[in-house]
Amino acid sequence: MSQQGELGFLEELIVEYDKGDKSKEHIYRLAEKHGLRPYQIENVLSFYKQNDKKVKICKGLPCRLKTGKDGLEYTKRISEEEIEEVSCLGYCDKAPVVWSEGKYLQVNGNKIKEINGVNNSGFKRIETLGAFLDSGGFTTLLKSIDRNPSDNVLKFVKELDLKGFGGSGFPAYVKWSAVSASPVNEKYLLVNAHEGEPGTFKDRVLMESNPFDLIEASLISALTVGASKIIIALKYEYRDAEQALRGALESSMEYLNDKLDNMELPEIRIFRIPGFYITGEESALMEAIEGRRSEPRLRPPYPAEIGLFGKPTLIDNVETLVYFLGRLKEFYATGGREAGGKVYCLTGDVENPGPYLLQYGTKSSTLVSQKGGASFSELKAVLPGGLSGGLLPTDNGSFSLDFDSLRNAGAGLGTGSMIAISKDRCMVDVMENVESFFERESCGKCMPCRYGTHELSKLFENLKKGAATENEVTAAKETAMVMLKGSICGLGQASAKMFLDSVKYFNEEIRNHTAGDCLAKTCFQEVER
Amino acid sequence: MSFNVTIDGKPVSVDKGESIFNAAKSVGIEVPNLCSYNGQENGVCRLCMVEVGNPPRMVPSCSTKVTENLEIKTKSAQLDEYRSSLLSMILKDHPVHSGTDGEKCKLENYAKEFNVERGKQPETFEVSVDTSHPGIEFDSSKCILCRKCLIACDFDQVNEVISVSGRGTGARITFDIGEHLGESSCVSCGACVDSCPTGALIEKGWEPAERTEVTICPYCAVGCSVEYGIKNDKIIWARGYSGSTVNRGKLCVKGKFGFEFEMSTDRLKVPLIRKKIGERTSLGNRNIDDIFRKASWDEALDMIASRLVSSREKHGKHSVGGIACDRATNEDVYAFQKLMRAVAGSDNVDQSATLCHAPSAAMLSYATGAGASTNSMKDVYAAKTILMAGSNVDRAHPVLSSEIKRAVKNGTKLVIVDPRRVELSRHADIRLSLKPGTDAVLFSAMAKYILDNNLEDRDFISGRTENFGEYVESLYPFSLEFAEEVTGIPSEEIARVATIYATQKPSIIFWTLGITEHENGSDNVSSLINLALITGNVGKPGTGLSPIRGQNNVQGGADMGAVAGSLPGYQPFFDEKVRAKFSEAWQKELPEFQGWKSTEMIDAAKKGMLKFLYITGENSVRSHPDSSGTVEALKKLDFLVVQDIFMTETAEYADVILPAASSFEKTGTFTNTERRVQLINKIFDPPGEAKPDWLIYTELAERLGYKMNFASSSSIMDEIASLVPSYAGIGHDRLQSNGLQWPVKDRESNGTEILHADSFIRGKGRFRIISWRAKDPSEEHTYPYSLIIGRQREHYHTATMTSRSRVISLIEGGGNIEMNPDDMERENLLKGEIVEVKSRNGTIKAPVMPNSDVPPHVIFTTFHYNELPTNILTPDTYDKPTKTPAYKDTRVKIVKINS
Repeated sequence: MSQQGELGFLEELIVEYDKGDKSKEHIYRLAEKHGLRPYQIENVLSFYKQNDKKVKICKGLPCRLKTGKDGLEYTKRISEEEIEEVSCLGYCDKAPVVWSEGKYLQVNGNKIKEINGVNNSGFKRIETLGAFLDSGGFTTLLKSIDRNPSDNVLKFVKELDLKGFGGSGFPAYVKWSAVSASPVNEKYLLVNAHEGEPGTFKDRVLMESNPFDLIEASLISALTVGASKIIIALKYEYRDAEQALRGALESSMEYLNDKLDNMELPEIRIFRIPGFYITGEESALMEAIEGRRSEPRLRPPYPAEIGLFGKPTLIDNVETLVYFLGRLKEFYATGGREAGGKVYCLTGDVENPGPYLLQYGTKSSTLVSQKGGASFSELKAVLPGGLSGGLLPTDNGSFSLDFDSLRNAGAGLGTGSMIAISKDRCMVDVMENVESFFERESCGKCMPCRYGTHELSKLFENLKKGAATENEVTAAKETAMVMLKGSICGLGQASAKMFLDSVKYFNEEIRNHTAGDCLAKTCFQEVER
Repeated sequence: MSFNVTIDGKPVSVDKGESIFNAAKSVGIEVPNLCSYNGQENGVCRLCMVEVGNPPRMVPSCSTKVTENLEIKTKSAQLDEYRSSLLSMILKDHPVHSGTDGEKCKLENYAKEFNVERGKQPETFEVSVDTSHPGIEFDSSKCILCRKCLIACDFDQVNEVISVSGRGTGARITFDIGEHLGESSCVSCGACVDSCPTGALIEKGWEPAERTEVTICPYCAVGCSVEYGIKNDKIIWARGYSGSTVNRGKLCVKGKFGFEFEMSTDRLKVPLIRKKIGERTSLGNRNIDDIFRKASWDEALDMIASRLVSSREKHGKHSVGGIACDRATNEDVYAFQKLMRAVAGSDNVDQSATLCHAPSAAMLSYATGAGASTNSMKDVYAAKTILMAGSNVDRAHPVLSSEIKRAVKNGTKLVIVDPRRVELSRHADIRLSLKPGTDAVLFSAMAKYILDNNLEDRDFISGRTENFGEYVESLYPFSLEFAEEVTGIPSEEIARVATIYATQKPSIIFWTLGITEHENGSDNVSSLINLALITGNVGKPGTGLSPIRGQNNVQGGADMGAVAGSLPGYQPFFDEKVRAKFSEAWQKELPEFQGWKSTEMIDAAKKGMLKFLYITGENSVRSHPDSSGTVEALKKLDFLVVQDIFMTETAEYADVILPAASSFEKTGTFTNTERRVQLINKIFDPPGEAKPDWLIYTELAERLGYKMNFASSSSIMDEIASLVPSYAGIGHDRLQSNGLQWPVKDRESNGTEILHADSFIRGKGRFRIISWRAKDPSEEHTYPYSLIIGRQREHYHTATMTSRSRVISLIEGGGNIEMNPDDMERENLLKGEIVEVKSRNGTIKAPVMPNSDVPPHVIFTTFHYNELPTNILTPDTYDKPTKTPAYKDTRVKIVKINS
């Protein structure tokens, strides 16, 4: 078995652990067998291993919104000991979802449907190498190789003004050029396929429908920055995506080795990494890959300088790479550098939730009405960028779903996953779900986030019960300021921002709760699971 | 390269790469923090925010590096507000404790400093205090998960016990995999306790001290500085002193919990005189008062003086001898050897090195000219390879072990040579489990392999050594095959280790008593020295030959000349110039004949040649080999004086017992294993009428008609400096901070970290030719096991001091025989079964415990416990050149007791 600090350690450890009876003796034997100290195993396993119950109920906001006031019919038949609550199962468009002994189920009242394969809304499936090649697959890679990618592609990325779709919207060129400029020989491209934010499932859909695109995009990206190793880090639960990728990888490499006369291409390795929302944070993901607790690193140094295994590392989100590929292909064909189609995940209070491939910058009202089958103006608010992009009321009208417009509106595009909140929702109820998500997902490393997410979650829990005072709401603003300024990573900051937005836009509704009034008639009662 | 920055308006020059936090600290500004561990980046509390630049931006000072012209503000209204809010958040989840906790709780103190009003708190905190450890308790409700304990345990001490379990709000500090602390693999070093900012991890019964004092630990020769908390004139706790460059705040269990002996009620407080002089019996079931009577110092010293004189007159000067104490100060030992040589007129003076590292000192002296470690402990960080031979450093010298483990984590190769799988083995790259006592063959075969394969350092050999040709010839028999046969280690492993040692340079060798305490101990040492000489691993950072010394001042004891035939500073006894120098200084003729070593003195007493023996601070009955023989020898003396801090098995046989001051009760210096002369501080007055050793010797000398002219410990050091070139620049006034490493040639010199840098002290490095003689195999037939006597981490020597610590006794309260489980099965022994262990010399009874770290045909035990007096078994066979006993390889058999 590998050792902590080596690739594959975590996956192997969990496999070994799962083989045993989970007793202390088993862990001590594991430690002895693999030359590990017990503390190393405890550190790691206690972080990643959830309760391993038979049934996992998704507590993500989209699932919560699709669950009736009386809770899920399905779970009432199952003994409580066999159930655990998890933050997001990644099938938000099928909400409400539970996972039961290896199967994902959509559980609408008494209708229980197993979720299989890919949601096809607007996504062409490419399942074989032949189909991929027929659609012009790998031509972009081959052209890039011909045209010296380290200069030309890098220039294109700058001109395209490519920004990351993983949540932060960080200018890709800054990272790409920094890694490219590093004189270190061994460099990594880390493909972040570890989505975990409620409402976000675009990367899964992209990988499942066309795994070849990601492979081609990764190879171009790695060649551009001079990375000899590509690691695709998948969310542990993404078994279908893994299978699709592995199949595609094998046939692709065979084809490319033949086509390129065995030119040395970057090596691609695929890992399923256990973890949570926080694991998708880029530095926490590197920690997980190195076999440690998935906790964000202190920065600087940035990954472009010291990343995976201490080497310069370019970290890109799946969609960012796939989008980049599409634009590069277009550029080679037409010379154009315009924005293209982006996947918008629409969930929450709409008729037709789903992933929608639309022109980058589509209007929010268009997404909600044309695709979602709901009226934008009938909504109370939206979370335009998952749980971490803030909260926007619909009062000020529709807005463009792009980075700049949303930043100007005081929110963020994030992953481009919009959760719609209807007029008859109670914001305190929604926020209770949001803040409890952040508390559950905080890794606990830094104090502002560990104490802050707990306080904010507790506040909304108490507001719902009618047990919170206005002073506590005021004090929580100070807490939120500390979280914004002091948290190591975006999780604590996002939690604080969501709270501050809710107070900014829905202060009256929150204050009503301190006075014992819930207009939506949702709160102050025993809420069933 | 350095940067110019301003901190709170003050211009400061800071090294590139330094954090803002440390930069501020360097100008005396402690940025508020809850998680900083000796300035290491930890980054979890987020309290240490500062403002940088204009307009000001808040950044964590611990993880932000300085840049040129950076404007740093550690105080501002905005920062105050931030800090106060953060503290308030934490305090909402933190229980209010009693006033005394404020002394231990940084959080509470900051709350006061930043005027934090406590918000509404939960009425009840979930409190579960883990009290399973004898000396430490853990109250998780006080824990703020700052992770300092984790850094202390896993990264600084590298004991690797503490982990963070779970995540988020549910994260907790746990031990191993969620064990109670007392049942975990904790080694009780106390680093977690010393680092805890809230008192969540705390000494049981901790209370605030009235004052604190720093002095040197009274145990091993690493020489850690300890900060003691004192209340009502008693030490109430100890913690590592972070200002020491030796231990940088770290301690081991002995340093942390082993201080209670000082206050023990059974300290010797007045001189005692045997009621029947010369009776020479042990106490048995009798009380001290039955055998001894209290006496005045005058009476006791008068009696000693007259007995010494009469012995000398009746039996000659050689009939008088003395054994110096290596737990005493340099000044004490110097005064003692002066008493023996200048006043009693005998060179029969020795100290405990003869029982441990005498072969190291002698052979290093032979080869290099200095009988001491060539390098410093910090060289482990410069080394690429560490060869650790015959040493259970993790038990005997835990703080040095931590440094080694850290170096190994940074990539240094570690090779361990020991019959047993010692604790450090889990960090080793290669472990060679050789047959006990075959070290010289192993290292000579490595040398031969290195030379045969041209891996040696030819320039070093030709330029810096002599005698090489003869040495090469002598290696002829030591082929890999021969070594495999003798040591039991496969040839290819020997070749591999030889290659690493010779090519992954610089390489440093550490060894302890597994090398020296053999019949061929000197040859073992020389074989290591020869290895270093052929590879040029001497005189440079990261290289060296480092015997890790055992007692706090055993290095100093030899430095001070408590060695027969060696005047202070290893100046040759028979060198006329040297003799003249000392004669003149002491105004006395020196003895004409070279004296006996301590083991020889015991033999001489047995034979009736030694009549008067003055033992100071040595429990010879338990620590010398062949205990029955030692008792027999003591019984044959005309007069025995024992000077100690406690009644010991040895003092029981004395005619006069003198009460001595412990190291807490006097000033003076200790010289540690890296030749560092460090000052100890007097914290208390001695109990009762006990006195510092040097004062006793001075007063005794006076009765013998000699004026020592010592007004104080410090004035003794002045005399040492005037006579010993390597101590020439040393005076108490120069040792206030971290001491000085000898040689210190004059008062301008700052000492010497690495010896033999440009040339050896004796000129050229000298190879020593060794030979190998196998032991009589018939012995193995009758006595099928090799008994190794060693140490536990918690106890020290015959445990006169450690056994008086409540905490230590609770952690390790009894001895046993450790045996390989396969051997136990073959012998049909059950775990814990009491067996007889028999050697040619005697029999002991003890419970036997399975331990797979002990190889087959070897058994292991300690000599710490009076109910397990292991040295009854050891024969009086010695290493020829140094008369050091072979404690590490006694042939024994195990006999089942028929019930």
